[in-house]
Amino acid sequence: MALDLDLSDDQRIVQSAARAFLEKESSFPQTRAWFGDVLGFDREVWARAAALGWVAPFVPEELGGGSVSGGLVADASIVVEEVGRAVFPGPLIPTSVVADAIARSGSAAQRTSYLPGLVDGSVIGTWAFAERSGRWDADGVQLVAAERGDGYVLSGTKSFVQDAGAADVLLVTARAADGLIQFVVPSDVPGVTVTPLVSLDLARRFAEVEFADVDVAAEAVLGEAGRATDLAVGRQLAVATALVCAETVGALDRCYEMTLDYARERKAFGRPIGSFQALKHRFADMLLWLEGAKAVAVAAAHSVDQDTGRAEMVGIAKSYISDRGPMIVRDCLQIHGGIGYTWEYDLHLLLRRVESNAALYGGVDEHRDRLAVVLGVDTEPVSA
Amino acid sequence: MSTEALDTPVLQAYRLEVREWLSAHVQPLARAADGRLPPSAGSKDSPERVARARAQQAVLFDAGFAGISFPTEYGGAGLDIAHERVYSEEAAGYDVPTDVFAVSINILGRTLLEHGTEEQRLHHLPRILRGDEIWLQLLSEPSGGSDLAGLITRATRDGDGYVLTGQKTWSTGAQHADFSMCPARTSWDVPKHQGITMFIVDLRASGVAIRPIDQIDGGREFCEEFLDDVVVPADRVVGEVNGGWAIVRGLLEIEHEWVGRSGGVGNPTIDVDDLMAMLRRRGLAADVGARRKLVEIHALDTVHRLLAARIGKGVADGTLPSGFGGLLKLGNDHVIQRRAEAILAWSGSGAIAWPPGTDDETHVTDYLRSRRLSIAGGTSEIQRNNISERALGLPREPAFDRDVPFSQVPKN
Repeated sequence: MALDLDLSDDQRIVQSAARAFLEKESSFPQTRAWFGDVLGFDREVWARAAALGWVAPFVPEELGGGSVSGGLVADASIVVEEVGRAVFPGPLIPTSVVADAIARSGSAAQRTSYLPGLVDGSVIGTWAFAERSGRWDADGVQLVAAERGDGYVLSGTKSFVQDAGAADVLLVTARAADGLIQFVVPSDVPGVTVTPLVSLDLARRFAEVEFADVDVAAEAVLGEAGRATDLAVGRQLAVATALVCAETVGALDRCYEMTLDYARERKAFGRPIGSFQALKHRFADMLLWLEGAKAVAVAAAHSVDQDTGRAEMVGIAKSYISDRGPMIVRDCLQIHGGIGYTWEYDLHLLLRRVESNAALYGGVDEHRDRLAVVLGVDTEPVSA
Repeated sequence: MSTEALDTPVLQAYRLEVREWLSAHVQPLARAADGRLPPSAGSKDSPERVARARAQQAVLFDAGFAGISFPTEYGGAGLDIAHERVYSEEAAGYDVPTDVFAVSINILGRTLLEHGTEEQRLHHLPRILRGDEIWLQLLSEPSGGSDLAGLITRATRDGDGYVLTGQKTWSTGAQHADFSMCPARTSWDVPKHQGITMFIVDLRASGVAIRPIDQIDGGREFCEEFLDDVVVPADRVVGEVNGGWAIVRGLLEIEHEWVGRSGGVGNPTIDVDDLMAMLRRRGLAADVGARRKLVEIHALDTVHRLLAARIGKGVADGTLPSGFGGLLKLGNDHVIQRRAEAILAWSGSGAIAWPPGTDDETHVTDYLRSRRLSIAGGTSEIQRNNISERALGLPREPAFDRDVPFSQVPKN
């Protein structure tokens, strides 16, 4: 059952095209074949995926993009959910976040030089945000941007950067003397070193990106420094987090279906194991969480698109899905028994994506702590 | 949480209409100094309250706000459940008698609408919606709750009608009710599901005795009923003779979907501001564990409301199988019990003993009351069976009584 039950006809076309593409191009055997690849995916396949309009919601029509519904994150979620189902390794979420950021606050030059390539798949983008502290908030940004001459010098190390090895362009969030500042820089500028990390999700690459006194021109600054950048970073985090939620839901849906099929087929004590109450009750609980995850992922996407209650709804979605998602995949593995623990059975591909996404852009506690602040738990109400 | 942000233009207009009417015609509920609404649970068992509620309901009925999603030919407003949700949200702060008629309209009225004869519908539904008749269901029996189809109340054919004898239990507010839907066994020589007939039983009829049950929370909302040679005319059969199990299942499906959608029966409505106020009063606002628990409860609550909207709509328009309705009761019970447990934990030693009338007393009572949720209206275990069988199509467990004449089945 799809994430959003209220898709328009145009959105359904996007959905079925994405599913058909991924079934053909990113079957589990194909995804496994990319395990050993340094990029983790095939750029040519990504270009064809992009040609289906996967990044288009975030890019204006005159630069090759366009949204079918006007709800950018809602549109993107449709494809991202399918990406989750397939455990597709392509750089959809990071490229989307970069495209959205440039489309919203880029200069005319940045927009025309990057957006057409990002939307047609010839340019891959990623966001270098978190650092070794593993925090996914502004306070975690310590990479220094020091003014020098007409430009800046970047020094520091980003970590947990998705698809940094494949990326042609980096969106870098840094700390200047008076607050956050962002840059859009080609990944091949001198002084940038990408060091791959080993990742739990075998169908996704993460890396550290070191900036050793990297000179960047003033033209590389994205938007206005100060308050505008704080808002932009907030939006980037919200877009990325909402999309990761949708992706997790797709993976959970597939994992749950696989497990349900298995429980219908697998016999023990002369009957299908799915007839035992000990498992049936777990399937009922998992369905509750899965349907709840779908409902809140849709609400989170809409809250970003409409910019209403975004911080609260995205936080609720991520904390809920990061909590219940792993519970579902762990139970699914357990219900499979020994076969679920084998390398050749595909369940662990989904489990790895869900567990990895649970921490990506902040885990349960990080989001609960942030929500407590958003809700004002420790702020006394103003007395009348 | 209001779903106002999700309103379509039609619902927006309806919301304004409801808002305007309520503010012009109904008293707002008095709020406490801290902005909280008074608890409504437990106050609905006085005869004066019920009489007043019937008068209030008649006003709502005349204005088109009773049975909003019922067809107009039976006295409803002919709108859908989204309108009903909008009305409920808008009416939350007003003195409307929703709780008194909730079961009567949303479970029994709805069941009669789906399964009653045209004559039964035309006669009873307007009276149910207007509050002239309060209905309830008599399902559980002392000999069994979860194994509902094993009921042993006996209905014997007698001339033009039937005579019912047996005992029912766990009905809510039966002392103020007028009619019930009551399944009874009409055949003992067939397997258990095939010998049940659904009757409309007049609770004022001769031979009906109703007694409240003393509960662990100190309340007496639940009753037990004794049926002693109660005469029921044949035109009060709902559905087919010996086909009553289908009506019971239909009723339960309606009940579970409604309980989950509406946030349950007589539950205290506590929003996140109330929870935050509690934490502050306990000096726990800076405690990381307590804060995280609060946020977790708020997230569960929010997700459940979104889920209720999703499933309510999905089941109504056929994009989701009807078996998904069972998730709503399961989820609702989960949220309310986890919340009551968290609040109990925040009371700390205050949950051991307290001066009379304090918040601690309320929290302990709410906790005790919350335990009923995963039992009443079908235990969570039965819900999970139903979800896994009806929504997911998983096979049933083997049973020893399925294909045996009921007279030969071992019973309590």
